Amino acid sequence: MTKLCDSIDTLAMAYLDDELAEEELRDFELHLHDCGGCKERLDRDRASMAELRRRLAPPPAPDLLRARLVRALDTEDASASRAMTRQRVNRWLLPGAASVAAVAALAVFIANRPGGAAGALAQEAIRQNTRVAPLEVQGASTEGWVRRYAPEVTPPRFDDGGVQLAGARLTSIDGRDAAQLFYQVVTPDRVYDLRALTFDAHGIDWSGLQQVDVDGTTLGVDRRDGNNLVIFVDREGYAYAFTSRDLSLEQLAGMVVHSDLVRRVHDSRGRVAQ
Amino acid sequence: MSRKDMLARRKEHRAEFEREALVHLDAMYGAAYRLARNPRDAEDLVQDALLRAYRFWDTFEKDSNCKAWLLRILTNTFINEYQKKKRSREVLDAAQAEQEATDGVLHHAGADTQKSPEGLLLERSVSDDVQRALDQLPDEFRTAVVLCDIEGLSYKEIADIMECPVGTVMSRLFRGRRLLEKSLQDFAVESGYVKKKDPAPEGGDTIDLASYRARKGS
Repeated sequence: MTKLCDSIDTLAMAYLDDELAEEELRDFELHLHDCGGCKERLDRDRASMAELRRRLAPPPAPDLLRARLVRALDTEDASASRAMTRQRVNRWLLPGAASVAAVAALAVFIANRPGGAAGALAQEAIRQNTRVAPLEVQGASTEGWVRRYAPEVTPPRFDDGGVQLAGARLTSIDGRDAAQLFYQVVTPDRVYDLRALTFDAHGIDWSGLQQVDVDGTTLGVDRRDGNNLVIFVDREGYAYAFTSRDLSLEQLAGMVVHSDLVRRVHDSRGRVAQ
Repeated sequence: MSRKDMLARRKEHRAEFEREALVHLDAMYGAAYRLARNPRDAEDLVQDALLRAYRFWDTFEKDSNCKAWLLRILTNTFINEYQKKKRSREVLDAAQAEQEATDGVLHHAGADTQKSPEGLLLERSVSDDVQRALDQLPDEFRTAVVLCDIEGLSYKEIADIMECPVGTVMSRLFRGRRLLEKSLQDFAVESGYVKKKDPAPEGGDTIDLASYRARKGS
């Protein structure tokens, strides 16, 4: 008996599982030449392991399982993409306390439809923002076009890169020149439309319009026929009236306070400093 | 990022997963088939493990062994979910058996299976001795045997999956295989196929390459 014979359980198993290191393998194979007992034992183990492995061999995966897994992955993709949509749209939901105050204010608002000049203006803004109208420019050249034809307007940018300026046209509201900006809110599921009507709002009495305070920013809000309107008036007296059928008032308001509108710095001529 | 980019990335993610992971479906099903109670549970186990792998695909290190990674997820899913389910089912079964005993209804084990042709199809054939023998093994032994003798993983890979030292893997494998062989022998004797044989002799040492190496080095 040698040291190797003492360890035949370990060595035979590791040998058959191909786990011996190079030198161990050489030593063991040399030993097998000299030791009939260990050789016999190894042959017996080899045969029983082969038999065991043969009997353990499982059937292949059924074709139906494969089809079922592809469907499960499809479902998983769809729900991941829905989750992403929720995440993206909800990013504009108002933060904590502001949200509660705003929702309360919006609830009051629904009961008290604004009247007067502001109410008529809100109605007209919604009408223009929801009707089909030809774009005068679209795509990448929109910003340049706006700078040229409506120099007083700087299209707002949103924190979310998925909100893209898609086009613009010139129009008027309440006898004032206005630019209408078309945005696309891109989520993995679908694309939402968002429009903004911008105009010089000097002299407009907004008091008839429901106002909410969101994070120190005052917004005017309205809702008609399922269309939501949020109006922001900047320090230069310029109004930005946003409308979307798809986004809730809360989401719209959240978007506006998360845009560069509220952070803008104006130079001495009242232009937005870039 | 634009919608197009995002959809494209998602599509690439899916294609990559199918290319790298779904090709190991037979391996996953094979392990599940031998670990779970019946083919239906095996399919559920594969699906749960595969979806989990898909969700964590970003964390898979691309140049490591994908099959071992998938089997790790499958093994953990089996231990965490299916064993728990099995235990709670056993508790339920016991409660039901007690209820029926109280009701004075003679309940024959397996009667449900015999009544329902569907159940009969879903259960494995009782003649599948190797599965019967496997089911009798402690979970640790069975898992080690499945990962080595069916999946061909190395001791090191099995040790990583089972979170134990290589020496422990070796002794589980050794004892698991011995117990399996003995059960299969016993079943064969029971059915009258073969005469009882003496058990294989053992060298009597600890099953561990590390201690072999230590002894040899000393």
